[in-house]
Amino acid sequence: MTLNSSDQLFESLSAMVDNEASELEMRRVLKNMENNPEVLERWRRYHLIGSVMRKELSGNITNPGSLVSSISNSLSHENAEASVNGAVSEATVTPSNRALRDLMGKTAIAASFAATLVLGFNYLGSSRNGELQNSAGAFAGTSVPVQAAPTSTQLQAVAHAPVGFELPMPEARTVSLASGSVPMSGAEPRSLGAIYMDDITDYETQEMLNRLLIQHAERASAHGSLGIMPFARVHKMQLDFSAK
Amino acid sequence: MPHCWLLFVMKFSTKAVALALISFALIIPPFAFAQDSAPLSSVDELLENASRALQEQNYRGRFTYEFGTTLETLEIVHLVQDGVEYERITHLNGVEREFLRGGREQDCVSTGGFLLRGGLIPQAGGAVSLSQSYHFYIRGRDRIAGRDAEVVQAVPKDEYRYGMTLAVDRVSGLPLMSLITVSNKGAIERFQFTELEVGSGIEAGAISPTGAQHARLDGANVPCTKLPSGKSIWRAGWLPPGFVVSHITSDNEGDVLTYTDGIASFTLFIKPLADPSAFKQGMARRGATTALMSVVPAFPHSIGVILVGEVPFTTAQQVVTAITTSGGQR
Repeated sequence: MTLNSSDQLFESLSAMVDNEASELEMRRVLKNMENNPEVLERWRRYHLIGSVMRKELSGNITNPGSLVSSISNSLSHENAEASVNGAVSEATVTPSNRALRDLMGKTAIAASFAATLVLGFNYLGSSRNGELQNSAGAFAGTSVPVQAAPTSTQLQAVAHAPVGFELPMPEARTVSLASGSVPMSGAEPRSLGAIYMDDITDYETQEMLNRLLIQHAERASAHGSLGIMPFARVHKMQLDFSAK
Repeated sequence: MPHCWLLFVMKFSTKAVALALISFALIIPPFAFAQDSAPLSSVDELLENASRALQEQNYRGRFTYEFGTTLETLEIVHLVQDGVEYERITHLNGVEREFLRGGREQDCVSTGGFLLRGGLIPQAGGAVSLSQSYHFYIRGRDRIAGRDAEVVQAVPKDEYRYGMTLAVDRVSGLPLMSLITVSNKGAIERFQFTELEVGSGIEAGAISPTGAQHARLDGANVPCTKLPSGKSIWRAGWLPPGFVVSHITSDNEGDVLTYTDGIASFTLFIKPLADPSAFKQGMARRGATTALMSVVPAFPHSIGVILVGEVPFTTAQQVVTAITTSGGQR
Protein backbone atom coordinates (compact mmCIF):
# COMPACT_ATOMS: atom_id res chain seq x y z
CA MET A 1 0.00 0.00 0.00
CA THR A 2 1.51 3.22 -1.04
CA LEU A 3 0.92 6.25 1.12
CA ASN A 4 -0.39 9.25 -0.65
CA SER A 5 0.44 12.64 0.73
CA SER A 6 -2.88 12.79 2.58
CA ASP A 7 -2.21 9.54 4.39
CA GLN A 8 1.25 10.76 5.23
CA LEU A 9 -0.27 13.88 6.73
CA PHE A 10 -2.65 11.85 8.86
CA GLU A 11 0.26 9.69 10.01
CA SER A 12 2.15 12.79 10.98
CA LEU A 13 -0.92 14.16 12.73
CA SER A 14 -1.20 10.93 14.67
CA ALA A 15 2.46 11.16 15.59
CA MET A 16 1.94 14.75 16.70
CA VAL A 17 -0.80 13.71 19.07
CA ASP A 18 1.58 11.12 20.47
CA ASN A 19 4.31 13.72 20.70
CA GLU A 20 6.46 11.61 18.41
CA ALA A 21 6.52 13.94 15.45
CA SER A 22 9.69 15.63 14.33
CA GLU A 23 9.66 19.38 14.03
CA LEU A 24 9.61 19.09 10.27
CA GLU A 25 6.52 16.89 10.43
CA MET A 26 4.83 19.32 12.79
CA ARG A 27 5.46 22.27 10.56
CA ARG A 28 4.15 20.35 7.57
CA VAL A 29 0.97 19.32 9.38
CA LEU A 30 0.32 22.80 10.69
CA LYS A 31 0.89 24.34 7.30
CA ASN A 32 -1.57 21.91 5.78
CA MET A 33 -4.08 22.36 8.52
CA GLU A 34 -4.55 25.93 7.54
CA ASN A 35 -5.50 24.94 4.00
CA ASN A 36 -6.89 21.47 4.43
CA PRO A 37 -10.19 21.22 6.27
CA GLU A 38 -9.93 17.47 6.49
CA VAL A 39 -6.75 17.61 8.52
CA LEU A 40 -8.27 20.26 10.73
CA GLU A 41 -11.39 18.18 11.18
CA ARG A 42 -9.40 15.12 12.21
CA TRP A 43 -7.41 17.16 14.72
CA ARG A 44 -10.65 18.46 16.15
CA ARG A 45 -12.02 14.96 16.39
CA TYR A 46 -9.06 13.67 18.36
CA HIS A 47 -9.92 16.16 21.07
CA LEU A 48 -13.67 16.13 20.78
CA ILE A 49 -13.95 12.38 21.23
CA GLY A 50 -12.86 12.74 24.80
CA SER A 51 -15.18 15.64 25.45
CA VAL A 52 -18.19 13.84 24.03
CA MET A 53 -17.48 10.92 26.34
CA ARG A 54 -17.94 13.32 29.20
CA LYS A 55 -20.98 14.92 27.58
CA GLU A 56 -19.48 18.35 27.62
CA LEU A 57 -17.80 20.43 25.02
CA SER A 58 -14.18 21.26 25.20
CA GLY A 59 -14.14 25.01 25.27
CA ASN A 60 -10.85 25.62 23.59
CA ILE A 61 -11.61 23.59 20.47
CA THR A 62 -14.55 25.61 19.23
CA ASN A 63 -12.20 27.64 17.10
CA PRO A 64 -9.66 25.18 15.72
CA GLY A 65 -8.21 27.79 13.44
CA SER A 66 -6.96 29.89 16.31
CA LEU A 67 -5.50 26.83 18.00
CA VAL A 68 -3.49 26.15 14.88
CA SER A 69 -2.09 29.65 14.69
CA SER A 70 -1.25 29.66 18.37
CA ILE A 71 0.68 26.43 17.91
CA SER A 72 2.51 27.97 14.96
CA ASN A 73 3.34 30.92 17.15
CA SER A 74 4.67 28.62 19.85
CA LEU A 75 6.96 26.94 17.39
CA SER A 76 8.44 30.23 16.31
CA HIS A 77 9.20 31.42 19.84
CA GLU A 78 12.13 29.10 20.21
CA ASN A 79 13.74 30.01 23.46
CA ALA A 80 11.07 32.12 25.09
CA GLU A 81 9.86 29.35 27.36
CA ALA A 82 13.22 27.76 28.10
CA SER A 83 14.59 30.85 29.77
CA VAL A 84 11.62 31.56 32.02
CA ASN A 85 12.53 29.18 34.76
CA GLY A 86 15.65 27.57 33.46
CA ALA A 87 14.29 24.04 33.53
CA VAL A 88 17.35 21.90 33.24
CA SER A 89 15.68 18.57 33.33
CA GLU A 90 14.67 18.51 29.69
CA ALA A 91 17.96 19.01 27.95
CA THR A 92 17.20 16.67 25.09
CA VAL A 93 13.86 18.25 24.25
CA THR A 94 13.97 21.22 21.95
CA PRO A 95 12.18 24.31 23.28
CA SER A 96 9.73 24.32 20.39
CA ASN A 97 8.76 20.70 21.03
CA ARG A 98 8.22 21.47 24.65
CA ALA A 99 6.14 24.56 23.98
CA LEU A 100 3.98 22.54 21.66
CA ARG A 101 3.70 19.74 24.14
CA ASP A 102 2.71 22.20 26.86
CA LEU A 103 -0.01 23.58 24.65
CA MET A 104 -1.17 20.11 23.78
CA GLY A 105 -0.82 19.18 27.38
CA LYS A 106 -3.27 21.88 28.36
CA THR A 107 -5.66 20.66 25.68
CA ALA A 108 -5.28 17.15 26.98
CA ILE A 109 -5.97 18.26 30.51
CA ALA A 110 -9.20 19.75 29.26
CA ALA A 111 -10.09 16.53 27.49
CA SER A 112 -11.67 13.62 29.26
CA PHE A 113 -10.10 11.53 31.96
CA ALA A 114 -10.34 8.50 29.72
CA ALA A 115 -8.71 10.22 26.79
CA THR A 116 -5.30 10.33 28.41
CA LEU A 117 -5.29 6.69 29.37
CA VAL A 118 -2.17 4.87 28.29
CA LEU A 119 -2.34 1.19 27.65
CA GLY A 120 0.47 -1.22 27.98
CA PHE A 121 3.37 1.09 28.69
CA ASN A 122 6.54 -0.32 30.10
CA TYR A 123 7.95 1.68 32.94
CA LEU A 124 11.25 -0.06 33.23
CA GLY A 125 12.84 3.01 31.78
CA SER A 126 12.01 2.69 28.13
CA SER A 127 10.77 5.72 26.32
CA ARG A 128 10.64 6.79 22.74
CA ASN A 129 12.80 9.81 22.98
CA GLY A 130 14.89 9.15 26.01
CA GLU A 131 13.05 11.65 28.11
CA LEU A 132 12.10 9.27 30.88
CA GLN A 133 15.75 8.59 31.67
CA ASN A 134 16.29 12.30 31.73
CA SER A 135 13.39 12.94 34.04
CA ALA A 136 14.37 10.04 36.26
CA GLY A 137 17.81 11.52 36.49
CA ALA A 138 16.37 14.93 37.08
CA PHE A 139 14.39 13.93 40.07
CA ALA A 140 16.91 11.60 41.58
CA GLY A 141 18.63 14.53 43.14
CA THR A 142 18.93 17.60 41.05
CA SER A 143 16.93 19.76 43.36
CA VAL A 144 18.60 23.11 43.07
CA PRO A 145 20.15 24.58 46.17
CA VAL A 146 19.41 28.27 46.24
CA GLN A 147 20.29 31.12 48.52
CA ALA A 148 17.47 32.84 50.30
CA ALA A 149 17.21 36.53 49.49
CA PRO A 150 20.30 38.02 51.14
CA THR A 151 18.60 40.82 53.02
CA SER A 152 19.86 40.23 56.50
CA THR A 153 23.09 39.66 58.31
CA GLN A 154 21.72 36.50 59.76
CA LEU A 155 22.95 33.28 58.38
CA GLN A 156 21.62 32.41 55.00
CA ALA A 157 19.02 29.71 54.86
CA VAL A 158 20.10 27.49 52.03
CA ALA A 159 16.86 26.12 50.78
CA HIS A 160 16.56 23.19 48.47
CA ALA A 161 13.71 23.47 46.04
CA PRO A 162 12.80 21.59 42.91
CA VAL A 163 13.28 23.15 39.50
CA GLY A 164 10.66 25.83 38.91
CA PHE A 165 10.35 26.84 42.53
CA GLU A 166 13.67 28.69 42.78
CA LEU A 167 13.95 31.68 45.09
CA PRO A 168 13.43 34.61 45.02
CA MET A 169 9.94 33.84 43.93
CA PRO A 170 7.66 35.84 41.74
CA GLU A 171 4.15 36.31 42.99
CA ALA A 172 2.37 33.01 43.38
CA ARG A 173 -0.98 34.71 43.11
CA THR A 174 -0.48 35.52 39.44
CA VAL A 175 -0.46 31.84 38.64
CA SER A 176 -2.49 31.06 35.62
CA LEU A 177 -3.96 27.65 35.04
CA ALA A 178 -3.85 28.08 31.30
CA SER A 179 -0.29 29.32 31.22
CA GLY A 180 1.60 27.62 28.47
CA SER A 181 5.02 28.43 29.82
CA VAL A 182 5.32 25.87 32.53
CA PRO A 183 6.74 22.41 32.06
CA MET A 184 5.64 19.98 34.71
CA SER A 185 8.41 18.98 37.02
CA GLY A 186 7.52 15.32 36.78
CA ALA A 187 7.43 13.38 33.55
CA GLU A 188 4.29 14.15 31.63
CA PRO A 189 2.13 11.36 30.21
CA ARG A 190 3.38 11.99 26.74
CA SER A 191 6.99 11.75 27.65
CA LEU A 192 6.56 8.03 28.12
CA GLY A 193 5.31 7.65 24.60
CA ALA A 194 1.79 8.02 25.91
CA ILE A 195 -1.00 7.89 23.43
CA TYR A 196 -4.55 8.98 23.55
CA MET A 197 -6.54 5.99 24.49
CA ASP A 198 -7.26 3.94 21.36
CA ASP A 199 -10.12 2.23 23.00
CA ILE A 200 -12.00 5.34 24.02
CA THR A 201 -15.13 3.33 24.26
CA ASP A 202 -13.69 1.39 27.19
CA TYR A 203 -16.54 2.30 29.47
CA GLU A 204 -15.54 -0.35 31.98
CA THR A 205 -12.14 1.15 32.70
CA GLN A 206 -13.62 4.61 32.89
CA GLU A 207 -16.22 3.47 35.40
CA MET A 208 -13.61 1.63 37.42
CA LEU A 209 -11.38 4.68 37.61
CA ASN A 210 -14.31 6.85 38.60
CA ARG A 211 -15.16 4.47 41.41
CA LEU A 212 -11.58 4.56 42.66
CA LEU A 213 -11.51 8.33 42.39
CA ILE A 214 -14.50 8.48 44.72
CA GLN A 215 -12.91 6.04 47.16
CA HIS A 216 -9.73 8.08 47.17
CA ALA A 217 -11.70 11.30 47.71
CA GLU A 218 -13.49 9.70 50.61
CA ARG A 219 -10.24 8.62 52.24
CA ALA A 220 -8.48 11.90 51.50
CA SER A 221 -11.35 13.78 53.11
CA ALA A 222 -11.40 11.51 56.16
CA HIS A 223 -7.64 11.29 56.74
CA GLY A 224 -6.33 14.39 55.02
CA SER A 225 -6.28 17.97 56.16
CA LEU A 226 -8.64 19.90 53.92
CA GLY A 227 -12.00 18.68 55.11
CA ILE A 228 -14.54 17.45 52.59
CA MET A 229 -12.99 19.40 49.69
CA PRO A 230 -11.51 16.34 47.91
CA PHE A 231 -15.02 15.40 46.82
CA ALA A 232 -14.94 18.37 44.46
CA ARG A 233 -12.68 16.23 42.27
CA VAL A 234 -15.30 13.55 41.70
CA HIS A 235 -16.20 13.30 38.06
CA LYS A 236 -19.57 11.60 38.33
CA MET A 237 -21.63 9.73 40.87
CA GLN A 238 -21.32 6.04 41.36
CA LEU A 239 -24.75 4.84 42.33
CA ASP A 240 -23.53 1.76 44.13
CA PHE A 241 -20.87 3.60 46.08
CA SER A 242 -20.41 2.48 49.64
CA ALA A 243 -17.68 3.80 51.84
CA LYS A 244 -15.11 1.35 53.15
CA MET B 1 -0.14 0.47 71.41
CA PRO B 2 0.89 2.89 68.74
CA HIS B 3 -0.76 5.95 70.20
CA CYS B 4 1.39 5.81 73.32
CA TRP B 5 4.27 6.85 71.11
CA LEU B 6 2.69 9.97 69.73
CA LEU B 7 4.31 13.29 70.47
CA PHE B 8 2.62 16.52 69.73
CA VAL B 9 5.26 19.08 68.93
CA MET B 10 3.49 22.35 68.25
CA LYS B 11 6.31 24.57 67.19
CA PHE B 12 8.44 21.97 65.51
CA SER B 13 8.54 23.77 62.21
CA THR B 14 8.94 27.29 63.59
CA LYS B 15 12.71 27.32 63.68
CA ALA B 16 12.98 25.94 60.19
CA VAL B 17 10.77 28.64 58.71
CA ALA B 18 11.87 31.53 60.89
CA LEU B 19 14.91 32.26 58.77
CA ALA B 20 12.87 32.20 55.59
CA LEU B 21 10.29 34.52 57.14
CA ILE B 22 12.93 37.01 58.19
CA SER B 23 14.65 37.11 54.86
CA PHE B 24 11.35 37.67 53.10
CA ALA B 25 10.26 40.46 55.40
CA LEU B 26 11.58 43.13 53.08
CA ILE B 27 9.70 41.83 50.08
CA ILE B 28 6.36 43.57 49.99
CA PRO B 29 3.83 41.43 48.20
CA PRO B 30 2.02 43.48 45.59
CA PHE B 31 -1.35 42.78 47.09
CA ALA B 32 -0.58 43.84 50.65
CA PHE B 33 -2.92 46.56 51.86
CA ALA B 34 -0.80 49.58 52.60
CA GLN B 35 -2.98 50.86 55.41
CA ASP B 36 -3.17 47.60 57.31
CA SER B 37 -0.32 47.45 59.76
CA ALA B 38 -1.48 44.48 61.81
CA PRO B 39 1.26 41.86 61.91
CA LEU B 40 0.96 38.84 59.70
CA SER B 41 0.37 35.53 61.41
CA SER B 42 3.10 33.01 61.63
CA VAL B 43 2.92 29.98 59.41
CA ASP B 44 2.16 27.72 62.35
CA GLU B 45 -0.77 29.87 63.40
CA LEU B 46 -2.20 30.01 59.90
CA LEU B 47 -2.03 26.29 59.32
CA GLU B 48 -3.32 25.39 62.75
CA ASN B 49 -6.19 27.87 62.44
CA ALA B 50 -7.12 26.57 59.02
CA SER B 51 -7.12 22.97 60.14
CA ARG B 52 -9.18 23.77 63.24
CA ALA B 53 -11.61 26.09 61.49
CA LEU B 54 -12.54 23.41 58.95
CA GLN B 55 -13.65 21.12 61.77
CA GLU B 56 -14.92 23.54 64.37
CA GLN B 57 -16.70 26.33 62.52
CA ASN B 58 -20.20 26.51 61.09
CA TYR B 59 -19.94 27.68 57.51
CA ARG B 60 -21.74 27.68 54.23
CA GLY B 61 -20.35 28.86 50.94
CA ARG B 62 -19.88 28.44 47.25
CA PHE B 63 -16.59 27.90 45.51
CA THR B 64 -15.09 27.19 42.15
CA TYR B 65 -12.91 24.24 41.31
CA GLU B 66 -10.76 24.59 38.22
CA PHE B 67 -8.23 22.62 36.29
CA GLY B 68 -7.17 23.07 32.67
CA THR B 69 -10.15 24.70 31.03
CA THR B 70 -12.67 23.00 33.30
CA LEU B 71 -14.49 25.13 35.83
CA GLU B 72 -16.88 23.57 38.29
CA THR B 73 -18.99 25.31 40.89
CA LEU B 74 -19.82 23.74 44.23
CA GLU B 75 -21.61 24.43 47.45
CA ILE B 76 -20.38 23.36 50.85
CA VAL B 77 -22.07 23.41 54.24
CA HIS B 78 -20.52 22.44 57.56
CA LEU B 79 -22.30 22.46 60.91
CA VAL B 80 -21.29 21.36 64.36
CA GLN B 81 -24.06 20.17 66.67
CA ASP B 82 -23.21 18.93 70.16
CA GLY B 83 -19.58 18.56 69.21
CA VAL B 84 -20.37 16.45 66.13
CA GLU B 85 -19.69 17.53 62.55
CA TYR B 86 -22.25 17.40 59.75
CA GLU B 87 -21.37 18.46 56.23
CA ARG B 88 -22.52 18.45 52.65
CA ILE B 89 -20.70 19.14 49.38
CA THR B 90 -22.75 19.57 46.20
CA HIS B 91 -21.73 20.10 42.58
CA LEU B 92 -23.85 22.88 41.16
CA ASN B 93 -23.10 22.30 37.50
CA GLY B 94 -22.80 19.32 35.22
CA VAL B 95 -23.59 15.81 36.42
CA GLU B 96 -25.36 15.81 39.77
CA ARG B 97 -22.97 14.88 42.53
CA GLU B 98 -23.49 15.27 46.25
CA PHE B 99 -21.82 13.82 49.30
CA LEU B 100 -23.00 14.12 52.88
CA ARG B 101 -21.10 13.12 55.96
CA GLY B 102 -22.18 13.25 59.56
CA GLY B 103 -21.20 11.85 62.90
CA ARG B 104 -17.56 12.76 63.23
CA GLU B 105 -16.42 14.26 66.52
CA GLN B 106 -15.11 17.76 65.98
CA ASP B 107 -12.00 17.11 68.05
CA CYS B 108 -11.14 13.98 66.11
CA VAL B 109 -8.09 15.13 64.21
CA SER B 110 -7.10 13.11 61.16
CA THR B 111 -3.55 12.06 60.34
CA GLY B 112 -3.31 14.77 57.69
CA GLY B 113 -4.79 17.40 59.98
CA PHE B 114 -2.35 16.41 62.68
CA LEU B 115 0.61 16.79 60.33
CA LEU B 116 -0.69 20.12 59.04
CA ARG B 117 -0.86 21.43 62.62
CA GLY B 118 2.81 20.61 63.07
CA GLY B 119 2.43 17.22 64.71
CA LEU B 120 5.16 14.61 64.68
CA ILE B 121 4.45 10.99 63.87
CA PRO B 122 7.08 8.40 64.79
CA GLN B 123 7.80 5.82 62.15
CA ALA B 124 10.31 3.02 61.86
CA GLY B 125 12.59 5.11 59.71
CA GLY B 126 12.35 8.21 61.87
CA ALA B 127 9.69 10.71 62.82
CA VAL B 128 7.62 12.33 60.12
CA SER B 129 6.51 15.94 60.09
CA LEU B 130 5.30 18.55 57.66
CA SER B 131 8.64 20.34 57.68
CA GLN B 132 10.26 17.40 55.90
CA SER B 133 8.03 17.99 52.94
CA TYR B 134 7.60 21.73 52.40
CA HIS B 135 9.15 25.12 52.98
CA PHE B 136 6.54 27.66 54.01
CA TYR B 137 6.46 31.32 53.11
CA ILE B 138 3.95 33.95 54.11
CA ARG B 139 3.09 35.74 50.90
CA GLY B 140 1.09 38.62 52.31
CA ARG B 141 -2.56 39.50 52.07
CA ASP B 142 -5.32 39.12 49.53
CA ARG B 143 -9.04 39.64 49.28
CA ILE B 144 -11.21 36.64 48.40
CA ALA B 145 -15.00 36.27 48.52
CA GLY B 146 -15.09 39.78 49.93
CA ARG B 147 -12.94 38.75 52.89
CA ASP B 148 -9.42 39.64 53.98
CA ALA B 149 -7.10 36.72 53.71
CA GLU B 150 -3.51 35.88 54.48
CA VAL B 151 -1.63 33.85 51.94
CA VAL B 152 0.87 31.12 52.71
CA GLN B 153 2.80 29.17 50.14
CA ALA B 154 4.05 25.63 50.67
CA VAL B 155 7.04 24.99 48.39
CA PRO B 156 7.83 21.29 48.04
CA LYS B 157 11.27 20.28 49.17
CA ASP B 158 11.61 17.73 46.40
CA GLU B 159 10.17 16.68 43.07
CA TYR B 160 8.00 14.04 44.67
CA ARG B 161 5.07 16.28 45.38
CA TYR B 162 3.26 19.39 44.21
CA GLY B 163 3.29 22.73 45.95
CA MET B 164 0.31 24.47 47.48
CA THR B 165 -0.67 28.05 48.04
CA LEU B 166 -3.37 28.65 50.62
CA ALA B 167 -5.29 31.84 51.38
CA VAL B 168 -6.77 31.82 54.88
CA ASP B 169 -9.62 34.02 56.08
CA ARG B 170 -8.31 36.35 58.78
CA VAL B 171 -11.57 36.35 60.68
CA SER B 172 -12.62 32.70 60.70
CA GLY B 173 -9.36 30.95 59.76
CA LEU B 174 -11.09 29.04 56.98
CA PRO B 175 -9.17 28.41 53.77
CA LEU B 176 -10.65 30.65 51.06
CA MET B 177 -8.43 29.62 48.20
CA SER B 178 -6.08 26.78 47.51
CA LEU B 179 -3.81 26.26 44.53
CA ILE B 180 -1.94 23.08 43.72
CA THR B 181 1.21 24.26 42.02
CA VAL B 182 3.94 22.78 39.89
CA SER B 183 6.17 25.83 40.01
CA ASN B 184 6.04 29.44 41.09
CA LYS B 185 4.06 30.35 38.06
CA GLY B 186 2.13 27.21 37.27
CA ALA B 187 -0.89 25.77 39.02
CA ILE B 188 -2.76 22.66 38.01
CA GLU B 189 -5.77 23.06 40.24
CA ARG B 190 -7.56 25.84 42.08
CA PHE B 191 -10.30 25.96 44.69
CA GLN B 192 -11.60 29.44 45.45
CA PHE B 193 -14.60 30.59 47.42
CA THR B 194 -16.86 33.15 45.79
CA GLU B 195 -19.14 33.57 48.81
CA LEU B 196 -18.88 32.40 52.39
CA GLU B 197 -21.08 32.71 55.44
CA VAL B 198 -19.64 31.79 58.83
CA GLY B 199 -21.28 31.48 62.21
CA SER B 200 -24.48 30.58 63.94
CA GLY B 201 -26.92 31.86 61.34
CA ILE B 202 -26.77 28.71 59.24
CA GLU B 203 -29.92 26.66 59.60
CA ALA B 204 -29.78 22.93 60.31
CA GLY B 205 -31.69 22.10 57.14
CA ALA B 206 -28.76 23.28 55.05
CA ILE B 207 -27.01 19.95 55.48
CA SER B 208 -29.90 18.02 53.98
CA PRO B 209 -29.44 16.55 50.53
CA THR B 210 -30.58 18.77 47.70
CA GLY B 211 -31.19 16.09 45.10
CA ALA B 212 -31.77 12.42 44.49
CA GLN B 213 -28.18 11.79 43.39
CA HIS B 214 -26.33 11.79 46.67
CA ALA B 215 -24.20 9.50 48.80
CA ARG B 216 -24.05 9.41 52.57
CA LEU B 217 -20.86 8.72 54.43
CA ASP B 218 -20.62 7.73 58.05
CA GLY B 219 -18.33 10.13 59.86
CA ALA B 220 -18.67 8.27 63.14
CA ASN B 221 -16.63 5.41 61.72
CA VAL B 222 -13.68 7.60 60.86
CA PRO B 223 -10.91 6.60 63.23
CA CYS B 224 -9.11 9.23 65.27
CA THR B 225 -5.83 7.44 65.78
CA LYS B 226 -2.98 8.88 63.81
CA LEU B 227 -1.70 5.50 62.70
CA PRO B 228 -3.98 3.05 60.96
CA SER B 229 -5.48 0.21 62.90
CA GLY B 230 -6.05 -1.95 59.84
CA LYS B 231 -3.45 -4.31 58.51
CA SER B 232 -2.28 -5.46 55.13
CA ILE B 233 0.36 -7.88 53.95
CA TRP B 234 1.39 -5.16 51.52
CA ARG B 235 3.17 -1.94 52.24
CA ALA B 236 4.96 0.79 50.34
CA GLY B 237 8.63 -0.18 50.26
CA TRP B 238 9.48 3.36 49.33
CA LEU B 239 7.70 6.59 50.15
CA PRO B 240 8.67 10.18 49.48
CA PRO B 241 9.98 11.74 52.72
CA GLY B 242 7.20 13.07 54.90
CA PHE B 243 4.50 10.61 53.83
CA VAL B 244 2.88 8.22 56.28
CA VAL B 245 0.27 5.57 55.86
CA SER B 246 -2.96 6.91 57.32
CA HIS B 247 -5.59 4.23 56.67
CA ILE B 248 -5.56 0.56 55.73
CA THR B 249 -8.49 -1.64 54.82
CA SER B 250 -8.37 -5.20 53.67
CA ASP B 251 -11.14 -7.44 52.43
CA ASN B 252 -11.66 -10.23 49.97
CA GLU B 253 -11.48 -7.80 47.05
CA GLY B 254 -8.08 -6.53 47.97
CA ASP B 255 -6.21 -4.07 50.14
CA VAL B 256 -6.54 -0.32 50.13
CA LEU B 257 -3.85 1.84 51.73
CA THR B 258 -3.94 5.62 51.95
CA TYR B 259 -0.94 7.86 52.53
CA THR B 260 -0.60 11.55 53.33
CA ASP B 261 2.11 14.09 54.03
CA GLY B 262 -0.29 16.56 55.61
CA ILE B 263 -1.12 18.29 52.35
CA ALA B 264 -1.09 15.70 49.57
CA SER B 265 -2.69 12.25 49.67
CA PHE B 266 -2.65 9.13 47.56
CA THR B 267 -4.31 5.75 47.77
CA LEU B 268 -3.04 2.33 46.68
CA PHE B 269 -5.57 -0.26 45.59
CA ILE B 270 -3.91 -3.69 45.56
CA LYS B 271 -5.35 -6.99 44.53
CA PRO B 272 -3.87 -10.37 43.68
CA LEU B 273 -4.31 -11.28 40.02
CA ALA B 274 -5.33 -14.68 38.79
CA ASP B 275 -4.79 -13.51 35.22
CA PRO B 276 -2.34 -10.60 34.95
CA SER B 277 -2.93 -10.24 31.22
CA ALA B 278 -6.53 -9.23 31.85
CA PHE B 279 -5.50 -6.28 34.01
CA LYS B 280 -5.55 -3.03 32.10
CA GLN B 281 -2.39 -1.05 32.66
CA GLY B 282 -2.07 2.61 32.01
CA MET B 283 -2.00 6.08 33.33
CA ALA B 284 -4.57 8.82 33.38
CA ARG B 285 -4.80 12.27 34.79
CA ARG B 286 -7.53 14.67 35.86
CA GLY B 287 -6.54 18.02 37.32
CA ALA B 288 -4.01 17.35 40.05
CA THR B 289 -5.04 13.71 40.34
CA THR B 290 -2.88 11.00 38.84
CA ALA B 291 -4.13 7.46 38.34
CA LEU B 292 -1.58 4.76 37.60
CA MET B 293 -2.63 1.18 36.87
CA SER B 294 0.08 -1.42 36.85
CA VAL B 295 0.81 -5.11 37.20
CA VAL B 296 3.55 -5.66 39.76
CA PRO B 297 5.33 -9.02 39.82
CA ALA B 298 5.02 -10.75 43.16
CA PHE B 299 5.08 -14.20 44.68
CA PRO B 300 3.00 -16.33 44.45
CA HIS B 301 0.70 -14.12 42.36
CA SER B 302 1.35 -10.90 40.55
CA ILE B 303 -0.67 -8.06 41.92
CA GLY B 304 -2.71 -5.43 40.18
CA VAL B 305 -1.94 -2.04 41.69
CA ILE B 306 -3.74 1.21 41.08
CA LEU B 307 -2.48 4.42 42.63
CA VAL B 308 -4.84 7.38 42.72
CA GLY B 309 -3.70 10.65 44.24
CA GLU B 310 -2.48 14.20 43.97
CA VAL B 311 1.16 13.44 43.32
CA PRO B 312 3.28 13.67 40.17
CA PHE B 313 3.32 10.70 37.86
CA THR B 314 6.96 9.88 38.60
CA THR B 315 6.19 9.64 42.31
CA ALA B 316 3.29 7.30 41.56
CA GLN B 317 5.56 5.16 39.45
CA GLN B 318 8.28 4.94 42.07
CA VAL B 319 5.84 4.05 44.83
CA VAL B 320 4.14 1.36 42.77
CA THR B 321 7.32 -0.36 41.66
CA ALA B 322 8.56 -0.46 45.25
CA ILE B 323 5.51 -2.11 46.77
CA THR B 324 6.59 -4.95 48.98
CA THR B 325 5.17 -7.28 51.58
CA SER B 326 5.35 -6.53 55.25
CA GLY B 327 7.85 -9.33 55.40
CA GLY B 328 10.12 -7.43 53.08
CA GLN B 329 10.07 -9.62 50.03
CA ARG B 330 7.72 -9.63 47.05
